Amino acid sequence: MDSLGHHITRRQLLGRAPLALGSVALGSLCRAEQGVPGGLRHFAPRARRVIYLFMSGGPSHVDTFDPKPVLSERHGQEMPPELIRNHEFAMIKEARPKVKGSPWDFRPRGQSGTEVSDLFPHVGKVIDEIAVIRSLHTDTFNHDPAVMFMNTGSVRFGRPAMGSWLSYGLGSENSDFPSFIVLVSGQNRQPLLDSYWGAGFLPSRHQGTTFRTSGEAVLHITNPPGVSRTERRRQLDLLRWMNQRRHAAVNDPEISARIAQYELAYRMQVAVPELTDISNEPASVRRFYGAEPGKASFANNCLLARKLAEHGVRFIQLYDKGWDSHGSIRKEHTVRCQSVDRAIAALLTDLRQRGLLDDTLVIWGGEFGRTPMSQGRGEGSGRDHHPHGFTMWLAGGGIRPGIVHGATDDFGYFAQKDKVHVHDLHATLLHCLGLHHEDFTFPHQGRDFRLTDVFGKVVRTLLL
Amino acid sequence: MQDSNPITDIPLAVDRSHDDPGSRQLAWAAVPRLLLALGFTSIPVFADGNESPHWAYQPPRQETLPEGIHPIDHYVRLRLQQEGLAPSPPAPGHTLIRRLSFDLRGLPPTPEEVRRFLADDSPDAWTTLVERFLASSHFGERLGQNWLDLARYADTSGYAADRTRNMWVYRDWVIHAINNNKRFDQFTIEQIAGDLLPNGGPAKKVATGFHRNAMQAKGNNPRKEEFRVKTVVDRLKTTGRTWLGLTLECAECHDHTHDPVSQKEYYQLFAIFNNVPHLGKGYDTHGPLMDFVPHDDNERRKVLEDRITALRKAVPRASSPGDTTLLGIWAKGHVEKDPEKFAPTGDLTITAVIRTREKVADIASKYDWKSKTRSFVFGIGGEADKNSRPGHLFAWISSTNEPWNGAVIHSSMPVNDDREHHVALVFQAGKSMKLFVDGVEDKAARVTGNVPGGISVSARPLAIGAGYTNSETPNAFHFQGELRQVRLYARALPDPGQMGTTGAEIQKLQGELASLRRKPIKIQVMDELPAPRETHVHIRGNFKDRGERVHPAVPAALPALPAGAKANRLDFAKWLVQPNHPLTSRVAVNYHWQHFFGTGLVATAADFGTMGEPPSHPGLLDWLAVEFVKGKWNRKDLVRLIVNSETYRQSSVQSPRHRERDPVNRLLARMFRSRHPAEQIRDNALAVSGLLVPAIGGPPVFPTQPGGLYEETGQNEPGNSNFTWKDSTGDGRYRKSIYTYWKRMLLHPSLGTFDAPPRQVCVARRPVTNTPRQALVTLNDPIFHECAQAFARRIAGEHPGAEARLEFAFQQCLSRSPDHEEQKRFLGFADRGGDEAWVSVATVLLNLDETLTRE
Repeated sequence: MDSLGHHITRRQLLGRAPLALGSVALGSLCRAEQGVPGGLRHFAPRARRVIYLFMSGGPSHVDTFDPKPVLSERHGQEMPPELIRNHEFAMIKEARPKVKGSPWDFRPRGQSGTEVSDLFPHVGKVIDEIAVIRSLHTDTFNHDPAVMFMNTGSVRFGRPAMGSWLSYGLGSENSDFPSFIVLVSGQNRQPLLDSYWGAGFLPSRHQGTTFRTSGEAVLHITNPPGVSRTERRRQLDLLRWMNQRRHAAVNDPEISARIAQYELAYRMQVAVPELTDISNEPASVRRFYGAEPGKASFANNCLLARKLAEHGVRFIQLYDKGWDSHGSIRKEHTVRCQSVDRAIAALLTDLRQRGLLDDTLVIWGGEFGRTPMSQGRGEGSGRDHHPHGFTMWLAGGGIRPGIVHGATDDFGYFAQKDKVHVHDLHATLLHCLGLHHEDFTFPHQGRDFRLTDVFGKVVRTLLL
Repeated sequence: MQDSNPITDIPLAVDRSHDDPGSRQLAWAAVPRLLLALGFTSIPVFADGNESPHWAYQPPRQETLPEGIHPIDHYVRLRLQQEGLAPSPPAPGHTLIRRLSFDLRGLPPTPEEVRRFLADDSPDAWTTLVERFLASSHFGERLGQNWLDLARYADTSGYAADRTRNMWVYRDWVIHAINNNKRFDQFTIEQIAGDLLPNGGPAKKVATGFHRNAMQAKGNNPRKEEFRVKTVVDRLKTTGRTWLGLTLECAECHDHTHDPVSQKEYYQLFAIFNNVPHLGKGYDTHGPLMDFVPHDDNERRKVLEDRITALRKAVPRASSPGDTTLLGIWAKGHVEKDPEKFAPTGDLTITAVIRTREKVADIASKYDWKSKTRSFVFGIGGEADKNSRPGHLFAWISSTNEPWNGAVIHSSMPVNDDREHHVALVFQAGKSMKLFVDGVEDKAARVTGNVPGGISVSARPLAIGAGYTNSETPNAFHFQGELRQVRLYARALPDPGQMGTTGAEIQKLQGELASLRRKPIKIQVMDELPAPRETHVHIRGNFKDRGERVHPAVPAALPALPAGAKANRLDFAKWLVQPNHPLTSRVAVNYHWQHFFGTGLVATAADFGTMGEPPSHPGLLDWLAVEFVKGKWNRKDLVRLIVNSETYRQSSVQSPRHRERDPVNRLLARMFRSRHPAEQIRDNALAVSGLLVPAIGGPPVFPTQPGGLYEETGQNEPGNSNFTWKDSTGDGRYRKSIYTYWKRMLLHPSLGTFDAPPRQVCVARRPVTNTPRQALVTLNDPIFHECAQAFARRIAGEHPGAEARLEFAFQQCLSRSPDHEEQKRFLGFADRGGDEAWVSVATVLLNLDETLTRE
């Protein structure tokens, strides 16, 4: 079926099922049954799914993946005023902030020799799988607008998250799980908002579903006390009989959809606890990730992400909180990196070994980087929010491995060479998934909206 | 399709996710898109391919209609005839009453209401029912629910900090305004500019909460101004969607590409809304606030006060007991000679009858702290100490003369009201210190310090009606007024006023009275700066990049403001509802139509512009709009008009022909059939199971929510919302869902699962989805399971045999009897599993498509 034909089919489906069972959900149900991938795809994709490791709060690029020896040489000296002229900072109030050298050493890793700091020794070992982008830049320097921007392409509320776009455009490849799942770990500092994984103006079934790390993974997945699975089956059989009669009486196709959803819920009640229980993974695998069943951790979430990826979940987003190191960055970044480094490397290795990395796009990064200047003095000092140049990295899913793309200036202040704006990143990600970012639209309030607004260009050098 | 052709792809790229009114209209809608693709950047009024201005900017005209047919039915049938379709027959009676009950009250009809309606074969049975439901105070809740989506009403500020703020007073204003059928033009003016109305008063100021629903971030430099600007941007967007059906927001950064609003005109509108004070800093950044005393229940208050007065009169006044521990009685002010006399060292009770206006006066004292001779003192106003409460009872007791070593008690209620009071201090050594007023313990009295194990004996002799300050004789705190029957006991009397059980009853009533008398709270309202802010065009929407200076005005394509208008918010609001305004009445009528028919006559209810859908029945839209204005913007009349039509009363059964010819029901050959909104899903379960507490209004409530949700995402942190969810106990668990704490950044998950919007922005229409997680909610959410259990208890409790139980259950949940097959199947089902089986029956009934759907 060519994409043009597919549009028409979707239209007809839509016409028959107004408001209710939208095209993609129906599409995904059909696909799940027939095993036919498709959706709105414009061309053959390299990636079929995404695992997005979101370091919430803003990891420091100059301490992790973007070595800047000049900072160490000029440590404690004033930042060159021409660089920061007319800039305002979120927290730094000094008129002449001082340069802060990285407390960590960088060294070349792997065949590619990409320099990575000692904060990420394990990721360093798999650096040949990774394309490091050192020239990201974004539009805003406070957390919530910046996280919104990174996820929705807009600082405003009411726009869909990237995962929702993909759920809408590509549907789900499994019949037991939502297509956009969010996992949370880390230390509280900035709150996470529902709108980071909200569906905006897209139908709300495309919003991200948080799988909880303690208690029930999906809310209300367990029967109430006293209701056995046998009794639930008995209830559902009677319910289905009644609903089928109603369907026969009133002819509303929505009722068939409801019957199907109740059966899906019933299947999820087994599938979700089974899948989210990482204790049934071999001990060697758990050790490899550093995962411990029953404990809320990023490592557990990485292992779970791999399992969800295997089950065809389209977009899996891991939020790790606590990267906002305004003070004591030496201590705080050490703690954060130690809790994610091994698990990230394990995830990439595991995906590779299972043959999943080729069509799974892994994204690592925060909402912005951190200033090359110090916030505060001495051991208690940290770095402020920094939107003008920072690092993210991509792996798998059609991304050229073992490369470094772009560069910041000597201070790590401005993205300078081969700059990649957030919109460009989005355009590239959509491209990996087989979508033209300019053609992938949804009509709302009188115009067609895109994830990339009216901007964005695909960064071709990142692609295989 | 890698190299897409922007022109030929256009119609196909339109993914109208909710409806498809036909190819002719699609082609029409594509015209501006084509023009855009061809390089036209601005397409003003002449967008629909011919040379007449866009329909929505022309005033509506009312055609003359034939007699003897309801206007709605006339227009709908005319169109059906043209399309070769016939209207559907009326829905069955029980379906009709359910439809009307949910549409007007958001609740199912009671079996008794159903019985009465079905038994009423008079010709005006339907209109009688309509009137009854229109008079229900749940009408304002149900219609208000739609309005609160537009008003982006929520109980939190939004953004990361997402703090609680008192918006519920505005929410209640909406409910009451709709219940009282406030004219829609007044309803509009008060919400946009109630603060500017001459003689507006507090109630009209409460209404301006509408535009204070805009989200507000904590503002630190330089964000404070940025977020202030965002609230103005939000107000424009919301005003555009709610009243004008105009996508004003498109013109924030550049001229509107297809509707007649230039960027300059956008900022002229911006100037109208740009004069609201913006105060405070950090977390405390806020717009104007007003003190508001939550609505007193005056009737209940009067009942309570009368009852308390009666009880007081019924008991013998001030009859403190005479027993062996009574040390002495004094009839008036007096000073003893011997400091050792009347000097109890253990338990102590002092009672007296007083009448005074004094703020500071001692009743009995052996206490002179300035001379370091402390023992006990009981009186009013704490000897004017800085921590005392003037006019309130107090007592100090110390176990040593020096230093102070004891406890202080201050009463919570004043007694210097020039009325007679029986007052008492009861001290139980090492245990407690209590104050009694008129025989009733003041449980809200504040004790500080440790209650001492005994009372020291001071060198000051007992003074009645006066006190000491650095003096051997009483020299201060003289009691002015009446002081009688002062009694001193060496015992802690349990009931110093000898009230018996009456004391406890009075106390309970006083507790309730106190809860009625609430303290004022700060609510968010609009206010206007005395001197307006200077407004400029923000170049590309950047508030720091100021372009041309602009002054308040309305877009040229719309009617002009009346000559001499100041073009402030009040003039703007009046302009919106001026009779010749082409948009406001059409948009308002259309939102109501959307409520009763699922889709508006204009399907894009918030966009009447050239890219919006054209109306399915233009003549009808105009007829209703004109009628609405002619009828003085009477909302209930509009509702009457709609629900009394035959079109509204049609069956919602779909035929193959319907599906063939009009799958999305734009022609209205049948009634729409759709899952209930989130609130009604839960409220229905509560009502059916008998758990619903139907009270109207008040602060938000916290029905059961899975634990730890706020904690997982850090929403509870002190630096953020500083607030965590605590399930309500008692009534709060069972109130209607409209009263659930509406947290923008983490809405109650069961509401969200059924498409209730977090209301970060104005919502013109909710999506209606159908997902497995919805099934998990209605099957497993503890709220719904509790409903199933309660429903099962009702079924089993009130009815002896299985057949009677089933009949009751069906009537209660579906407003009908089970048919023969259903009866057979259900009875077989219930037969297995004893009483628990009825919980399963209840679960099945509450999960039926027929239950979850407005038919």
